[in-house]
Amino acid sequence: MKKVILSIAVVSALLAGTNAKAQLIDEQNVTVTMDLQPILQLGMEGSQNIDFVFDQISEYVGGITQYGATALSVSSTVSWDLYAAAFSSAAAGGNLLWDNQVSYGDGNDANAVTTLPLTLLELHQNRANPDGNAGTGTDDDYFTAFQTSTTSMGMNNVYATSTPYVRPASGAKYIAGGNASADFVAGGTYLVENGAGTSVGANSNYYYTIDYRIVPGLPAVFPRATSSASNGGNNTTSAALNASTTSLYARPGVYTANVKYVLVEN
Amino acid sequence: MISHSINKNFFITMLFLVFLMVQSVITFSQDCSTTKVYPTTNQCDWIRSRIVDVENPNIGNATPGTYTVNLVFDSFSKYRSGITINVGTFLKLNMVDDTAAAKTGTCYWKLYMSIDDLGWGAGATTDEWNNPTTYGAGTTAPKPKIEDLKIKVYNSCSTPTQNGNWQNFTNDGDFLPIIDNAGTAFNGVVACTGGQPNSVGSYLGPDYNELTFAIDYKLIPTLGWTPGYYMLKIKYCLAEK
Repeated sequence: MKKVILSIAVVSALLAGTNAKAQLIDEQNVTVTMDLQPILQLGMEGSQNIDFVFDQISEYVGGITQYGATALSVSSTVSWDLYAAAFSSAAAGGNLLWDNQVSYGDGNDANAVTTLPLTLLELHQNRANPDGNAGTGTDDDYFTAFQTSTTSMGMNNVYATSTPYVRPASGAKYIAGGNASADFVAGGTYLVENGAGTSVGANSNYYYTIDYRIVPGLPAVFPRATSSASNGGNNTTSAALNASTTSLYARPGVYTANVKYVLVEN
Repeated sequence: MISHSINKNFFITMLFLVFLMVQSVITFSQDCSTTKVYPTTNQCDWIRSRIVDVENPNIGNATPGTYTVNLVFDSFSKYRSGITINVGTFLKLNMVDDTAAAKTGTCYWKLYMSIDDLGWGAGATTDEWNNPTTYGAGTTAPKPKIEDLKIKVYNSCSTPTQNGNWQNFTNDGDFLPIIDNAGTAFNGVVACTGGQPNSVGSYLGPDYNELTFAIDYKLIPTLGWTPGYYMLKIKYCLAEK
């Protein structure tokens, strides 16, 4: 027992000596974390309800154009694309048509139809798509000026779809950017310059104003609705409405549609 | 004969246990060491001399009591202007002579910080943050570098090597001195007389302004960085010179 106690005492003495002769090192740690969240902000100025009231012959013939009815501003921390998609309840069911809310008249004429294609709506943007062609040619966008009669069909018809949150396919119109991964606008904001030589505010690639036009024609067959050309943006339409061989025309009434502006990470 | 053999074996066992305990102590003391900064003297009392406390004052996104500074970029304005955490970390030192040691001088020390990417990169990625997860679809965009995190160390007596200046690490394992006083020992800790005091004293007494260190953090992101969650560890090391 004495030897056990002696051993413990020896060990304790050794430990005490060890403590006194240990060299000082102390350490404290701080963890720094950084949470980079993707920020995509799309601002829209202008009325959310844009009305086209055709109550004069001149308006049927010449159409109604609403200039600058919508202004879009973008701030993004990641590369982005921006597109417009025409949508409706009918489109959700697979028919890319306007929703008919009210029909006027007695409806006895079988040639008066309510199947109006979404693509009869035309858009025009104030500046060209900065990068939407993957380097292969003309950028697919709504920059072409509104045309008359049946000239340059398909250049301004809105992209219509049953799946507005699925980015348009290659060749479809974008306001900015495109379907290909190489087609995009770099992260930035309309609020400040985004590099040497760039513009700010309404003059930058982060700000777009949108004009709208509808030309019913007489009779109201919407002659500019089309899905033919690739620049039509893969639109589909009820072609019979504007075929010269038919007697169909738009039945008077109230029609509604929804245009979604979608800002998406590249 | 049997009794003598048992006693000898017991004594050998105890010696072995002592040896193991001493080795474990040395191992613990080497957490902050490299061949660059390994202490050469043992004049400081290693129990009572230490970084007494590391506070994370609850300013901005700092989380008190967990030694974590969080930089959350969740708005465009934060991306453009960055986030600065003032006094995100606050160090307090207590330095005591070891009266039991056979001294040729007195206790003097150095204080420095090093960066640890928590095992993220080897080879070409030693300059990146640890990135356990990314957000969104894109993963080819550039990622933040260790050098993007700026650190400023200061106290009211302006004792740190780069007092009040923003500094940054570059690669995993880099060291930056706070108190080094290279080539000069025994710069006594007295009330704001200049230089880099590196001898005995306590933040509790009149040496508060020399033995406390406030640390600010700042980071201004670059638009286009891959969104995600990133981590680094900063080690604040106190070592005897």
